[in-house]
Amino acid sequence: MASIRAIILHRQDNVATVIEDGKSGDDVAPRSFDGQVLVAPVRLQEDIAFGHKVALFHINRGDAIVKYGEVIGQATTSIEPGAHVHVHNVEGRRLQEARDVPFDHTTKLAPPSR
Amino acid sequence: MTERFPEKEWAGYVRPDGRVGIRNWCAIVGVDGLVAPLVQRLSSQLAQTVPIYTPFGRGQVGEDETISLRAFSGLASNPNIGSALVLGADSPSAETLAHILAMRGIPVATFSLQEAVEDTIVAAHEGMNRASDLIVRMTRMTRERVGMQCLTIGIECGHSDASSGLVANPVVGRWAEQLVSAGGTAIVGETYEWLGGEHVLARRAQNPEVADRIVQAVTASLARMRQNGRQWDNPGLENQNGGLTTIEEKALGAIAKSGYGPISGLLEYGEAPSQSGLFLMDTPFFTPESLTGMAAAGAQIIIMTTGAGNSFCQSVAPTIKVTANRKTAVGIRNQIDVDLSPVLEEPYDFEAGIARLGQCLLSVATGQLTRGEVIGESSMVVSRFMASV
Repeated sequence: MASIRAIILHRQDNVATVIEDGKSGDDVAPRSFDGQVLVAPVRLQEDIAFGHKVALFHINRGDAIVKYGEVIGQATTSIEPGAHVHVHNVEGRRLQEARDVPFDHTTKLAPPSR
Repeated sequence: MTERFPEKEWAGYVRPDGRVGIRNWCAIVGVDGLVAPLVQRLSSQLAQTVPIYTPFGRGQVGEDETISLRAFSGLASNPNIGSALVLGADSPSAETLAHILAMRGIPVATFSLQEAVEDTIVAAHEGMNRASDLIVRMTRMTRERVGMQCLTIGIECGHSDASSGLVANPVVGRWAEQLVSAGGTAIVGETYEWLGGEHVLARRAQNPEVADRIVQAVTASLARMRQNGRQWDNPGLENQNGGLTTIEEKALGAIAKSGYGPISGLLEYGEAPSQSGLFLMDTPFFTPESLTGMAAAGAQIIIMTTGAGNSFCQSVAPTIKVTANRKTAVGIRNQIDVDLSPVLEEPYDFEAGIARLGQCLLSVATGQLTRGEVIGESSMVVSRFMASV
């Protein structure tokens, strides 16, 4: 069982980006680029490739996915810590909004519950 | 041999209007599609030339005609152009563009199929005579030492993956900030790719009018997608394979290449900035079109980040390819100018990455060839904004 590196970009983020190919069972201790430990380590629930995202907390269906300290989408199902976060369990909000109503760039989703 | 200069200096060809070329090329320009083969024939046979041509040219009307003329005159008077041979089916259309170039101080000659009594072989012969004279005279010029304020760069990302947003784009953005604070200019295009990050760009606008125009440009690009019944196929499959999940995530990573400083204005397609600073340009998102818009605005160099690799290089503005993905850096070694993948190794040394990019850029500005120039991979496409009559 290996330990692989992952980057967390902002203290509000609930996902980290793995920067080595990870296997199910690998441990991940995400760090910020300046070496800070902002979150507890997680164990990968499945294989996650370089550049893909891992959930750092339990995320409920409908919760915001936060990366760069910004909302990048919404969970379409509940997501366990250590799970792969990608198109199978996340949907962008911005294009959904664009389909229905004009975008108001001052609105933001609430940050995720911890 | 490229001379070594102190940091933040480079050497280029100083033009009559004060702008500075990183290359000294003779533009072989075709003002309409009838002379496109002639342009390609001549530029393939003559040294120090770059072809600038269109498959269209007649029956273009209104806004489309205006933007085309602006883009072609901008490309043919880019600082990298030291002289120009303008070719057309008829003399008046060639003269119109040649006059604009001459007013900008560019040594120019013209020839037309009309003057060759429609014989393209005769036109090639006479075109070669006229261009040869221009090229010999042009190459008497030598490089002079100049500063960062003489650089205008276009910034692009293509086939992005997570390494683009984590490392490559932030490194480019922070280098661009240094350029702008030294009095230089940076241009970022691809309006549709701002979607999901436009609120961040709008916050950085120099004034509320610029902020509104940024948001309006994004809204207009979305509306055009929608009017045409298109699905929102973004992020693309290659982005998804690289780990990008939503358009918000892709946009937030993409806009990092503009740095974090104030945005001075929003340019129209091919419009030259009226002052130095960081500008957005309202362009189509397809790389050949957006990069050509930046070159038409006077960018001497393009910096293009990539995750999976993207082969396009602009022909008038040499294109520096940057990646932070180690597989790409190794896999297409001959097409990557700056390998930033070491920045993704501990201790994540961004300063070293910025220095490596800056060093490469100033070397290329001073004459070092890009990988794209070495393998002869380059092209140009001026966008169309209306159908021809």
